[in-house]
Amino acid sequence: MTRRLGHSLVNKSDILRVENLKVTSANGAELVRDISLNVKRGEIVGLVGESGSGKSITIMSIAGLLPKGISIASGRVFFEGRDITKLTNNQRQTINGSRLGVIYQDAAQALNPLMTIGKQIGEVLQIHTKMPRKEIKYRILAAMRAVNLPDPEKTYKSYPHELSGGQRQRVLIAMAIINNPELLIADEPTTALDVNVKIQVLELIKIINESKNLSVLYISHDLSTIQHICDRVYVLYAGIPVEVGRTEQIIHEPKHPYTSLLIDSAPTKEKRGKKLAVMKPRVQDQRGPATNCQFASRCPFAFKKCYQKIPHMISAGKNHEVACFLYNKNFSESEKIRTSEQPDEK
Amino acid sequence: MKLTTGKLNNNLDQIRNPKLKRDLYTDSSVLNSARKQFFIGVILLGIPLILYLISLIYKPYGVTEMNPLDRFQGPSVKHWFGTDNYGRDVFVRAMSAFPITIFVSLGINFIGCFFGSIIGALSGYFAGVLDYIFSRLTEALLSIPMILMGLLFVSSFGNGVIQVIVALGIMFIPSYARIVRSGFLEYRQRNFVKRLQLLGSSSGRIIFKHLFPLIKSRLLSALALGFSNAILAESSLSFLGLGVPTDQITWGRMLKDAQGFVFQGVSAAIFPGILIVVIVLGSFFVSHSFKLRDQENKL
Amino acid sequence: MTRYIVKKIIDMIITIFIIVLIVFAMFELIPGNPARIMLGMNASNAQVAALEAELGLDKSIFVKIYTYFSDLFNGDLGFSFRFQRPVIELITEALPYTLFLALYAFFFIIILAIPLAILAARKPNSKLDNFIRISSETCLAIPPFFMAIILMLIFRTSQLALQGGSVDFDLNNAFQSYWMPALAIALSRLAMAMEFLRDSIIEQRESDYVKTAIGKGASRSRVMFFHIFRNSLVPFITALGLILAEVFSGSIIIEQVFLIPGLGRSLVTAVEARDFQLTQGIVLLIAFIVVFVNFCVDLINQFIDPRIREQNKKLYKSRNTFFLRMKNQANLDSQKKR
Repeated sequence: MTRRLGHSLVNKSDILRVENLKVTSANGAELVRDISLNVKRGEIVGLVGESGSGKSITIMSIAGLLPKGISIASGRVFFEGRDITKLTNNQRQTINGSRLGVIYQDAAQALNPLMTIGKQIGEVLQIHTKMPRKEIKYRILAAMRAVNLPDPEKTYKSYPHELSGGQRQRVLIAMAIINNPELLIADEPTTALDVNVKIQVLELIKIINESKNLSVLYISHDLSTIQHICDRVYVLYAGIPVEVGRTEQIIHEPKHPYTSLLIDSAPTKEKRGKKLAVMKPRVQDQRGPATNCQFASRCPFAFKKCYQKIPHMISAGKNHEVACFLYNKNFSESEKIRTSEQPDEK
Repeated sequence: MKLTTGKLNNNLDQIRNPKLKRDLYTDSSVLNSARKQFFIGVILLGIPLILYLISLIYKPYGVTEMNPLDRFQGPSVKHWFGTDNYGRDVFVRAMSAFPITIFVSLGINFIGCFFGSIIGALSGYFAGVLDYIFSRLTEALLSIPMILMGLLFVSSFGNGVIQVIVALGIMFIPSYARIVRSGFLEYRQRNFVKRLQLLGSSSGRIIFKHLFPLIKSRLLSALALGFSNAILAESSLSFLGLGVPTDQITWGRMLKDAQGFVFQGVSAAIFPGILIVVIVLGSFFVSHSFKLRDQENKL
Repeated sequence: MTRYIVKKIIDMIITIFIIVLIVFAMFELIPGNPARIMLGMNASNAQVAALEAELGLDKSIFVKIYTYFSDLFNGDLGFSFRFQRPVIELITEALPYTLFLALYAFFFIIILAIPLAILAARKPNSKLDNFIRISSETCLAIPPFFMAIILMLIFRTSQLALQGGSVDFDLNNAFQSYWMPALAIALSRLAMAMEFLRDSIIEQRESDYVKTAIGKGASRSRVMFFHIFRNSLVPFITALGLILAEVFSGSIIIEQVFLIPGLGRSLVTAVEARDFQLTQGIVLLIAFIVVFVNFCVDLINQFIDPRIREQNKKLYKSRNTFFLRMKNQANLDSQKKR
């Protein structure tokens, strides 16, 4: 871990920097409210949050895959120092697949059922390079070996439905890394897999990250997977990052009430026999612009201020930031008395 | 919201006859669209019907009354649809063909739907060997183009209204059988059918009380479509001069007569065709509205 | 794989057998004496008896079926009384016209349906989409012969084929002289193929693998043709197979309008003259073509889609009994979307 941290210190430049990204749907709902994040070269960054927290939308807007009707309202996304939010289709096509690889959640759906595996992996090279066929095939087989696909020659000619879930996920990874991209975006690639296959895939991503100095942005709703491979973690809640820090910090010294509840509610070996923390259910989504801390209604520590203003990111230790009024030194302890009900605003 | 109802539906589907929960989960946009299409269809079908009703009262000319001076007239107050090469009034002639066309189409669909439903229900509900035999039979019948079968029938039995109805009616059986069969195959697997079987309901009861009501919309949609297809097929046969007997005026025959004088008298060659198109299009719309209802039903 | 093809061929033969039986039954069910109908009322009893013996009408039904099938198997379709020539000769003369007309119509259907479907699928339920769909539905509502009249009026020409006076089929002239009849057939059958393709393009476009392809950096046209269009082909080809019978129907009628000396003309002449053997020959031939083409459609589809191949392989495994196969087939059919 320290080795890799040191490595990222040497190569300080950000491969990806997202600044105040806001994504809205056609009917005005804010799917992503205000996300800023950065990924350094060679770093694995995790993005964790429950469903609806806007993590998938964030990476879709980075990869330019937003569905129809959903668009970036404001904010910028710098990839290799260049704003990619306003690229034309053609410019986007030169980045996707060659500088930026994406691994999708559901590998069974993400592969074209009518094309052979080899052709699908090779399509990336066909689009971005002018390699002769033979070399493409050589590269494909090499990539397949790199992701530990069994019997590459045979898999080359098989179709997606003939592979297992883990193998399909490996194919997606091979497809994403074959053209040596700078950044790999992984959208919950392990959700559909069973536990030991999941670990293998995570290990594979880690190995590729180390051997090719590839940056990874890893999305998950599951802290244990994040803990397994990430260097740094962003915790998202309702389209806003609430806590950022190194993985150890987030896991062992969570600051934000949401993060700690998230960790306490996950079953682990240590917590065997004990009661797990239970979060209050989420009330109806507030889709308009945010006026207060979004977590306040579920927060066990929420006080008056939390219902009135939006907390901003403040430092909570080295490399550790949290967006919560509890850590704001401007408020006295007496002000931080818990109020369960939302006060009338007059 | 939508997601949760979707999930609930799936569970309900497993235990209950989906027809029962219809009012709970109606998608208003689909229903509105269905209503709109039904409305357009009825209006289109209504136009020829109203014209026919008018023609019952308003009879300025005889059906075969020739007016050599008024040949190839365009539409006017005197001749609503113009006149043909003998100066006969196209409106009066076209309207005299209305009842026979409707009768033949209804007859064809009655035969097709009645036998098709029986065959489809049996082969869909019991599946297996019976299904195989019926499948081959329907496949065989569907491989013979409809007009060919009509011609074959006419060549063997002579031309006449009954012959046309029987010949085309037979050709309509497979398409009805297919629709009923696929509906039955679909619902046969559902748990509510299995539950009914466990409760000891007889096959006949399940078929008539539970499964047929479920595919009602689908069958109505097929009937509307079949009606239009029957009109097309019948008019094709008459156009070839081999449908109903020659002394009976039909739209197909009027078009055949007018075809040689297309450039002299446009209206005689156009109006009977337009009548066919309006009726067929109207039934398309009605058929489509039932189809939408069925999809909405299915969820 | 071979096993599947063999079983499919067996199915096809059974279907053909049933078709022949139906056609045979028609002949058998003719009210009155077929020989007398053929020869007309003026024929003497001796003539009728001679023809009866020649047609084998006095034999038992099983003998008749047997001779019917063995004749067919030997390529003997009988003798046309109207033309006083063997049916097979008449058919080989007329077939090129009809076949060419059908293929030409298919050519029009394909080159019109593909761009229209892609255009309509771009924005489902938009004005353009609705316009394309409603106009193609309207075309579907127009019977082919009326379509021919409309085309004649629009283009101000009536392309009557026989005006040239040539009887032999001439491929060089055919493209030029038959575009109007072919277009008339194509337009009135276009909607089915178009809508099948449109629906499946819309469905495929929502799939995740399309997102993957965009993520790879594939250009729009590449995504459209290499992924979406290719994956929409199976329903499109199936639809083309289904409208084949209708295209033949249309061709038979259209030949009548444009006086093309194809199978349709011979058929109508044969029916009018009550020339049973010629009628049957033509009907059988067209039905065979339809069955065979749909068999080919099956093969092509499983060549395109490996999942269908897999499914069929499982379905036709050697240890599966006939009954099990039927049950599985029914289950598969029930899963299929309508």
